[in-house]
Order: sequence, then C-alpha cells, then structure tokens
Amino acid sequence: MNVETRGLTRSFRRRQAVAGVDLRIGPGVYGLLGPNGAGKTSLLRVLATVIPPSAGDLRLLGRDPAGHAERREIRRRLGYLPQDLGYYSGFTVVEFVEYIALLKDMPRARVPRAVASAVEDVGLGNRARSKLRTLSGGMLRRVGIAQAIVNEPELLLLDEPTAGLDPEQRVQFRTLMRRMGERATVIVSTHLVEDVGAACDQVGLMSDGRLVFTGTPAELSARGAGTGIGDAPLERGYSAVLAETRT
Amino acid sequence: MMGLLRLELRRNVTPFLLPTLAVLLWISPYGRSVTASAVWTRRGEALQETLLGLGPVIAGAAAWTASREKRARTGELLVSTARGGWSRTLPGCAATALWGLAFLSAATGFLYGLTAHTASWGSPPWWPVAATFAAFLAFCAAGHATGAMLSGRFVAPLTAIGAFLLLVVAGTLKSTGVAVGLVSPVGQVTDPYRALFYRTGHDLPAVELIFAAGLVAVALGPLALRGAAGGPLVRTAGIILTATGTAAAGAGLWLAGTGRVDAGRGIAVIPRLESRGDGRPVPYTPACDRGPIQICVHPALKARLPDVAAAVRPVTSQLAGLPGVPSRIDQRPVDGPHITDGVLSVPAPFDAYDKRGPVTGRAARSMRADTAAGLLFGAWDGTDPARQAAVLAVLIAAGDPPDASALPTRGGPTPAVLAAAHRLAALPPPTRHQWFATHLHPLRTTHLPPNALP
Repeated sequence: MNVETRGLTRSFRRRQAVAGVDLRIGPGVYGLLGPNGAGKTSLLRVLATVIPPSAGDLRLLGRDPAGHAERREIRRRLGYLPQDLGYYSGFTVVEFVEYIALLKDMPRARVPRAVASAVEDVGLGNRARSKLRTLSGGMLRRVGIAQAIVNEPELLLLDEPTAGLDPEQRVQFRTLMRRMGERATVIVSTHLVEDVGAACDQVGLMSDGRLVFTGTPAELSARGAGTGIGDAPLERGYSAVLAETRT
Repeated sequence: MMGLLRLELRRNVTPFLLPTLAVLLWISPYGRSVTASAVWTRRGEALQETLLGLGPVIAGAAAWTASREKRARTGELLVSTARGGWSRTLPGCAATALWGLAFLSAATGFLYGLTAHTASWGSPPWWPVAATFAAFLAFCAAGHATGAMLSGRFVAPLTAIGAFLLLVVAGTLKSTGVAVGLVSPVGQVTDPYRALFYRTGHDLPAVELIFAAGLVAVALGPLALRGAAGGPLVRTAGIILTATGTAAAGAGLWLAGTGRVDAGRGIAVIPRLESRGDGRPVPYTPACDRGPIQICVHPALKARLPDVAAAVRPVTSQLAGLPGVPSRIDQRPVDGPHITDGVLSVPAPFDAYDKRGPVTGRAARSMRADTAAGLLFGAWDGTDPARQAAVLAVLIAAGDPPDASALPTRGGPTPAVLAAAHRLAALPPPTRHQWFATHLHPLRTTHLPPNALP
C-alpha cells in the first residue's frame, strides 16, 4: 500500500479538520469527494507532508514521514498540486518545472528530458518558454500539474486539478490521470463528480473531517438509486450519502 | 545545488539593479577617487567607501529574493519537496551574492587597473579589498536573513533603508573616533596620504574582515535552526555557524574596542594585531622638481608635483638665493614648517591631491603661506610683528590677500604690520630681494619693530 492511515487526525486549534481517517490505498486513481470544508484539502496536506498529523498513524510509500530521512525520501517520490498554486511570475514554464524537479532531488542529467516530457503531457509544449505571468488561469493550472508529475511520482496528490480547465483539457487530463494511475497512487480531490466517474478506480467521500464512504464510483452511484438529488447517478449517490450522514 | 544556482542566477533581480549600482558607485568616493591622484592607499579606502551605496542595495536585493516564497505563496508547494528550507533558499542568496561580487570585482578591477597604470609608487593594498568583499557578503547574508524571516512587499526597501541607516551610524561612530566603530567598513578614520609615509599593518581591514565574516555566519546560521530548515546535518551546520559567527563578530568588536587612531600618521592601530615596525617611517626617494628652490614630494604624489611647484613658485622665486634660506622644500605630514639640515619640511595640503589641475584657492594660499614662513623663519610661532610683516610682504608680492589665514597666529595682522608689509611688497623685486639679503639674519635673531621695514 502506498498510503496507509489509521485514525488520522489533524486539528486546527479546537476544530478537527480530519477526524480519524482510515485509508489503505495502492496504485490507481482515488477520487476524494466532499462538500466545502469537509477536510479534503487538510487530508491532502497531511499526505503531502506539508503539515504533520495531530494524531493517528501515517505511512506513505512504506515509510514513516515523521522521521527526517524517510520524509525526505517520500518527498522525492511525491507529486503535489496544492489548491492554491503559488508561482514565480518571472520564471518561464520550463524554468518553474525545472526548479521543482531540482528541489525534488532529481538527478540533474534526467531533469531536462523529464521537464520537457511533463510540459508536453499537459499540452504546454508551445508555451514552454513563456513567462508564467503571461499565462491564463487554466494554463497555470496545467503548469501546476506538470510540476507535480515531473518526477514521475509514486504518490501523486492533486487538489482541484481541473479547476479552470476547459472541457477538452479536462478530458486530456483524465487520460493523463489514468495513465499515471497505472503505476502510481493518484489521489485527486475534486468537486466535479464526472471527473471521478471518468477517471477514478476508487472514491472516498468526506464529510466533517470523516470518511463517510469508500468504494468504487459504481458503488457510489448505486447508493443514490431512486433517492438522491442530482442529474447524474454519481451526483445522486454523492448527495444520498451526505444526506444519510447528516441524519 | 549547481542546477538550482544556475537557475537562480538566470532569474535573479540583481542584474536589473546593476545600472543603479553603477550610478551609486560613481557618486560615491569611488568616483571622486578616480579623478584624484593615483595613490594606492587612497584608492583602497575609496573602494571600501563604496559600501555605503552598494551594501544597502545588495541587502535589499537579497531580502527581495529571500522573501519570494511568502510573496508568491509558493511555500505550500515547496515545503512538499525534498529540499529543506535552508538549502532551498541558499542558492537564491548565493546568486544575489555572485552577481553583486561580479559587479564589485569589475569595479575593483577597473579602479586598481587604472591605478596600476598611473600610480608612481607602491603596490595594490589587498586587505581593504578582502574587507570590502567580506562586508559586501555580510550585507547580502543579512538581507537574506531578513527576507527569510519577514514577509511582505516592503521587506526589501525597508531592509535597504535599514542597512543604510546602520552604515551611517557605524560610519559616524568610526569617524568620530569611537573605538568599536572601527569594525565599520565605511567612515574615514585614517588619512590615506599621510599613511604613505608610515609603515601600516593590516590591523584595521583585518578587524573589519573578522567582524564581517562573523556577521555572514551569524546571519545564515540561525536560519538553519528553524523548523523546516532541514535535517540533523543542517541543524548541526546552523549551530556551528551561529557559534563561530558570534565568536568572530564578538572578537572583531573586542579587537576594535582596543584600537586607537593615530591621526598624525594617518593610521589606525589595533595593538593585538600590530606587528613590529608598524608606524615607523617608510623609506622612499622623493620626487623633486628643478625650480630655483627644489620642491620635493612623496613619489606616490609625483603626478601632482608640477602643479604643487607652480603653486609655491611665486614665493620661492622671491626668496631663492637668499643667504640662510633652504634650497629644498620637502612636503611631509608635519604639523608646521621646520628647517633641518638646510631642508625645509612643510605640511602637505593633502586635500589638494584629491583634485586634478592647478592647485588653487585656500589650498594654494595655505601652501604659499607655509612655504614663505618656513623659508624665512623655519619653525616660528608667528608672534613677532616684523617677521609677520616680512611674511605678509612676500605673500602680497605673490598676489595673495594678507589675511589672518596667512599667519600661524590667531587673529589678523595689526594695522602697523599690514602697513609695513604693504611698504615692503611695493618695493621693486630686486630691491626687496636685496633688503632681505641684508636684513634676514637680524630678523631671525632679534626683535625688530615693524617700522624697521622700509
């Protein structure tokens, strides 16, 4: 298992953003759904080793991130796209992706090819030398995805990756996710249930910091049969589970 | 690390500041020293003074680069990478330092190259260069530390302003003779022209170097002790840097506290670093002209000899050949004129060497007054009215105003002295020369009344 958590909790002062989450995720694409404030971003931040858990057990890629050496090793094999991607506006696309690749301790000899490949994968080959300040919001999101995949991560964490992408780009991105999921664990947090239906093998639904559903997209759809609110089966399943949780 | 450094060098802000640095360089003592006499000690000092402009700018640039993560909100992403905060941000600091050092090296190369081409004596002083470079790095490191710890768009300009104010305070402490101020790279405390005549150690730049190196370590070390800075190795490096930096900066301050300034010889002495022979006169062969009375200057000041000789010629031409008048004048760092073995030593107006072209104005008048008084009476307190009138007569004949500045006494000449001076100056030059030939000895040995003059 690439991600193993037991009773994972993360608190901010008195509020528990993540409240005792148990996860065992291997290679594949795992969709993380949930309403605003459910704890998806906090969970991803813990998994990205940006913030430590307040309680519970956490193992990533078979290592304990609490130790410095192991955490560093995890980070070398990690790809992370934060919800709010900061960037250096004076850097070009290639420079920014190269910068992150170097910070991930990639061997220098591998960096140029890996950067070019990642930039091509997100469809920015023709803007590779453009300064980031000249790019649109959707393009910047794709730069964010490129930096996340540049090191061919074994664990890829994507927070709202398709926000700002047009339909064609979203389709391309789903293909990319599926390809990455063939050999790595991809955890993608999103509000767009169609992304989950199209690309994810497994799905988790969070509410109030807890994981209230785990299963396949088909199982989630089945939960909403004849009851939930929404236009698509997944949406109906999503709202049905949330409604059950709240009652 | 090299890959990151290369990337940081490409995207560093300092190249955009190079025109500003060039302007600051030119309006600093560096620019003025280029047009002054090519004297190594003067040029070395001017190089250090450039830090008043360059130091704050490079500190601001380093702060701007270091505060980048907070400004651009990249912290969330970068924390998830393998590099800790310390090794992640150091290449940015190094890039700023390298650009700045490249500029400073070019400026040093230009100044020293120009000096090597035109200087008539001495060799390049490298200790001030080392001290300047170390202080420059200290500004860079301090700016980096400030930027890494504080966030906001105004961190960079505020860091630059803070560094400038700090330098002004340190320079003021140094130039007013407060001993601990000697660690400051700016602030004139020595006289580069006077220092030509005495053997000077490397005391002062060595203390500045120790202090600046300590500051570099003290600025960078604590950053390695912060939470996300890195692993145990980085922490250990941080502890070592902080400890050694504190010790070095403290040692620099302590050594400076024991220092003293020898204004007469234009040098600063740090007793603990003083080596045997420091402060002793340096032997040299003076550069002399071939006027009626030979004018000699230090060989480092040879380029200005024709202008200096021209400035005093209106006086020397009047007094040459008189019995008992020295046949040679040496410009030296003495307090007042005196005659030894038939050679008159006069104070050199060193400010005149900071300019090009003829020596004019107050510097020239002072030079002629010292020369006239010295040639006629040697070491003289200026109190005897007849002697006052004689000196003033020579100066009036040379075209100078007979004001108080012409006499080594307080207050202006009395009306009787002035009247006698004007009478003597009005005589035809051969007559005046003849009068001096017959009356100089009595003037020197007895007290005559002013009306004894013709």
